[in-house]
Amino acid sequence: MASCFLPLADLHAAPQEKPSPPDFTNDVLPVLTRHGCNTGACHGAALGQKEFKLSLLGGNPRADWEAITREFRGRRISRALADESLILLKPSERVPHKGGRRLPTDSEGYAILRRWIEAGAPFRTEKRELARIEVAEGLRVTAHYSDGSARDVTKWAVFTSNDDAVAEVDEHGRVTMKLPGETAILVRYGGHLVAWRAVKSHGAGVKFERRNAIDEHVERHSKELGIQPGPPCDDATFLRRAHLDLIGTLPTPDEVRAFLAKPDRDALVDRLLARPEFAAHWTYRLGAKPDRWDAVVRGILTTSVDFYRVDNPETIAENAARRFLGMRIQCAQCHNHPFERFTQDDYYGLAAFFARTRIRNGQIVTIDRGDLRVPPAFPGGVAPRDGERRLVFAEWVTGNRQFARALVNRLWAFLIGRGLVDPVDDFRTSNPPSNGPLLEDLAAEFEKDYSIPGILRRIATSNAYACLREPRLLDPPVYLDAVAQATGVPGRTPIGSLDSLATTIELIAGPTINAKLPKMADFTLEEMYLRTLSRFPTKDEIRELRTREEREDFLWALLNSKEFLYGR
Amino acid sequence: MDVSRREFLTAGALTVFFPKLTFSGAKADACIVIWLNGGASHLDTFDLKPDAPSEYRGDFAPIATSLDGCRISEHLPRIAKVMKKLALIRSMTSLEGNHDRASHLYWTGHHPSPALVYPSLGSVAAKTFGVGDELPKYVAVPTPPEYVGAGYLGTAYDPFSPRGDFALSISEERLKRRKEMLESLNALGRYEQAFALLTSDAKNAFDLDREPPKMRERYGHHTLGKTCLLARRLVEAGARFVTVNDAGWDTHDDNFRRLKDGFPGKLPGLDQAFTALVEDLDSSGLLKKTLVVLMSEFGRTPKINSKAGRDHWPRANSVVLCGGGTRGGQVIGSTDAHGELPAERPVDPADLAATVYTQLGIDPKTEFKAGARPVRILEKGEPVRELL
Repeated sequence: MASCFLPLADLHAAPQEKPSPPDFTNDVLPVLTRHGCNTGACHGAALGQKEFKLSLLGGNPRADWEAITREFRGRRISRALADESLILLKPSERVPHKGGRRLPTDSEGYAILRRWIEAGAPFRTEKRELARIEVAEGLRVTAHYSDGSARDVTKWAVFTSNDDAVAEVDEHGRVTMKLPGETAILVRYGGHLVAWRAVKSHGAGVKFERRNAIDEHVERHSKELGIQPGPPCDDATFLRRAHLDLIGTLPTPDEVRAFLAKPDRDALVDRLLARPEFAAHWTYRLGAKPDRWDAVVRGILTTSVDFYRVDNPETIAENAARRFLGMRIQCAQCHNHPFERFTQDDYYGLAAFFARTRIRNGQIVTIDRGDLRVPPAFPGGVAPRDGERRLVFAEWVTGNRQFARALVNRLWAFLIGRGLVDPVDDFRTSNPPSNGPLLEDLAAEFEKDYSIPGILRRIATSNAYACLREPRLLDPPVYLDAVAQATGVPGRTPIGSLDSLATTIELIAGPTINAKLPKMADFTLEEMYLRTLSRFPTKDEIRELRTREEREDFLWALLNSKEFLYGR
Repeated sequence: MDVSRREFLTAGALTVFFPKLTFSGAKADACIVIWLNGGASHLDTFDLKPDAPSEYRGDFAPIATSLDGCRISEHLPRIAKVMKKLALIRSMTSLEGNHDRASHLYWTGHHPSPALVYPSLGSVAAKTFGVGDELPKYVAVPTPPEYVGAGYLGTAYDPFSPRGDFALSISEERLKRRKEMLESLNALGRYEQAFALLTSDAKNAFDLDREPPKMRERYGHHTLGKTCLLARRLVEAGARFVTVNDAGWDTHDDNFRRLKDGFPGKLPGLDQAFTALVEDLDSSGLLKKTLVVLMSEFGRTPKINSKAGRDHWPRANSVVLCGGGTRGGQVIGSTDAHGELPAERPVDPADLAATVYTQLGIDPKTEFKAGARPVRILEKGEPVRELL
C-alpha cells in the first residue's frame, strides 16, 4: 500500500529534488558510495561483511540492487515500515553496526533511501545514464547525463588527495593547499573518476632557454611550480650522458678530445642516432628492434613464435596492456578497477581476444573455438571489426593514443631519469603525468611516423635534456659493458642491481672487475680519466701512481666512483 | 582548581576506564621469520580436522603434542615434541587471496596501495636499529621473497642476500689502498660496510663449514636446514632480523604427496629444521631474546580440488611463534569444523605485525617520512595480547 503522506523530510527538500521516486543507480547508489558503504574495507570487500556484499565502489548497480532488495529473503527493506528496514536501521546505528553511524536519521542520504523504499525500492525510474562528470574550482562537481541534462552532485562525490602534505581536501570538496608542490585531488562519482590538479608555487622566478617545443612545456610547468631548473651541464658531462643514453657505450678518449675541442651538441646527437650500436642498445631497452614502432608491435602481438610460453588469455592481455599501453589492468579481474575507469567487463573483453590462442609445438596458433564470459570487446563495450582476433587487437593497441603516450613516456624516462608518468607502466587517472601537455605533444608527434629516433632526437636536443636530470644508477648490463670498454678487456660476469650491498661486495671481491685488471694495458692517469669518466682530470685530481698495482687499484676506484656508477 | 591539575585528573580517569597498551620496550633483540612461500595448508600442518568429511580432511592424521589438547600433523612429530615452547595461532584471517597482495599484507601489515610501497617488518627494524657497520643487520636467506624490501624507506634498508662466498683474490693491503683511493674520489656510502664486512670476522657468520658436522646433521643437509642454521649464526653474530625463505608450498595439485614426499618433503624438512632451530636457540640461551615466527601468506582451501590439491584460502591460516618474550605453550584462536573461517579470536596480519614490532621494542605508531609526508609504519593492528 502506497503511503498517502509525504515523509516530513521531503517538505524540507531542496528545490532541485525531483518529484519522481529516486532512481537506484543515479540517486541511491551515490549515497552508499559517499558514505563509504562499498569500500574494499567494508561491504565492497571480496566477501562483503556479515553476508552483505556490495560491488566495490558501486561498480555494479544491478547486483547491488539485487543484494539489497532480493537477498536475505528481502528483509533488508521493509516497504510498509521503511524506517524499520535493515538497510536503514544499521547505518543509522539504531541496531549495532560495526561500520558505525554512516547515515544519521536526519541526514539527506537517509531521507533519499527512505523515499526510495517507500516508493517500492525500484531499480530504474529514469532512462538517463551518467555520461561524464566535470570538476570545477571550488571544488564543484557536475554530473552530465545522456539526455543532455546536468546537475550539481558535489555533496555526493567522494574526494581524496594523492598527497596530503601538498593539498588536503575535506568531504565537501574544499581544497586547502599546504606545502608548495603539485598533486591530484581525486573525485569519484557514479563510477567515474576525475583527477583535479592542485598546484602551489614554490615562489622562485624562472629563466629557461627554449630550444624547441619541449622546452616551452618545461618552462611553463617550471613557472607554475615556481622552481628554477638547474643550469645546463658542461660539455664533458653532455658527451658521456648522450653516449650512455643513446647507444649505451662510453665515448672513447679520442671522441672526448674531439668533442671538447668542438662541442657541437646537436651534431653529436645526430651522429649517435646513426651509429650501428643504436639498434642493439634500443633492442635491449625496448625488447624489439626500434624500427617503425606500430608495425613492430603489431608483429609482436600476432607472431606465431612462442616467446612467452603463456596461453592464458588473461595473462596475455595483462602483459600486452602493461607493455604497450603502460597500464596495469589486473585489478579489474575481480572488480572494476578502483583507480581507473576500467571495468571488469572491459578486462574480460580484452582478454577474450586471446581466448582462442593456443600453443602447439612451440608455435602460437589460433583455433576456432573457445570464449570467455564476454565476447571480444574494447573498453566501453566497443565492438571490434571482423577479422583475425589478434590482428584486430593489435590494430586497436597501436592505433590508440595511449600506445603513443606509453612509448614516449618510456623514452623520456630513459633519457631524463624518470617518466612524466611514474612508474612508466602505471598510467591511470589517479596517477596523472607531471606535465600533461608535454606528454600529449610528444605523443602526437610520435603518431606522425612512429619513429623512435625522431622522439629521441627531439628530447636530446632540448635544453631540458641538458638541465633536468634525476641521477640514476646504470643498469647492470650497461655498467658491465662500460667496465669492459674502459678496461679494454671484453666479457661480462653477471651482477645484480648496483644498488645492493651484495653487488658492492661482488665488485670489491669478485671477478667482475678483478679478473680484468691484470689483463688491461698500462694506462696513464689522464687516459684512465678519459676512459672511465670521459673527461680530463682537474689540477687537484693529479696524483702519482708509481707501481702497476697502484694503477690497477686506482682504476678500480674510478670504476666504483659515484661519477662512473651514475649515468648522471 | 587550576587548569593543569584538572587536565591531569581527567587524563588519569581516562586511563582507568580505557586501559591502553602503553609502549614498554623491547623483549627481543632479534627476529627470525621462516616464510613458507606459496601458502602452507593449515589443514595439513597445524589445524587438522580429522572429523570432517573425507573431501575436506585429506590424507593426514593428527598426533598428540607436548602441549595438552593440541594435535598437529603426523608429519611434524619433532615439532609436536617441542609444542610446549610454541604459541600457535589458528585463527589468522585476511581477505587477500592473491600471492602478491597477501605477501605484502603479512610482510608490511598493510594492504598494497598504488600510492605507496610500504616497508617490510625487517626494513623497519633496519631503519630503527641501523643497517650495521660490518655484518648487515637485516639479512634474507637464501634469497629475498617478494615484499621484504624497504619501500618508501629507500633501498639502504633492503635486506642483504649473500651471493657466493666472500673470498678475496687480492691482499688486504691492496684492499685498504683501494678503499682509500675511492674515498679520495667520493664519500664511500655503502662501500664502507662492504669493505668492513670483507675484512672483519663478521663474514664468518655466513660460513657453515665452521659448524661441527653433528650440528649440520641436526638441521639437515637441505636448503631449509642450512638456511635455518645460517639464521642462528647470524643472530648470534648480531643480526637483528633474518628472513628464511622456503619455496614450494603452493600446492594447487598433488598436495599430499608434495607435502610428505621428496628429498626431503616439505613437512619432514620443516619438521627437522624448525625444531633444530628452536632447540638450538633454547639450549644456547638465545631463544629468550630471539623471536621466531613461522608464517605463510594464506592457508589453503578446505575442500580438496579435482587435482588432489588445495587452492588459496586467506580466511583461515596458522602462524607459529616462540621466543622473544612471547608466552609459549598455548593455542590462540580456532577455526570452524571444516577449517574455513575463524570460530573464535580472529587475528589480522596487521595484529601479527604489531606483535613483532612490539617485541622488538618498535612502537607501532612510529612514523617515518615518505618524501615529505610522515607515514605510520602501521595504520591498524593491535599486538596479540595472549602472546605478550
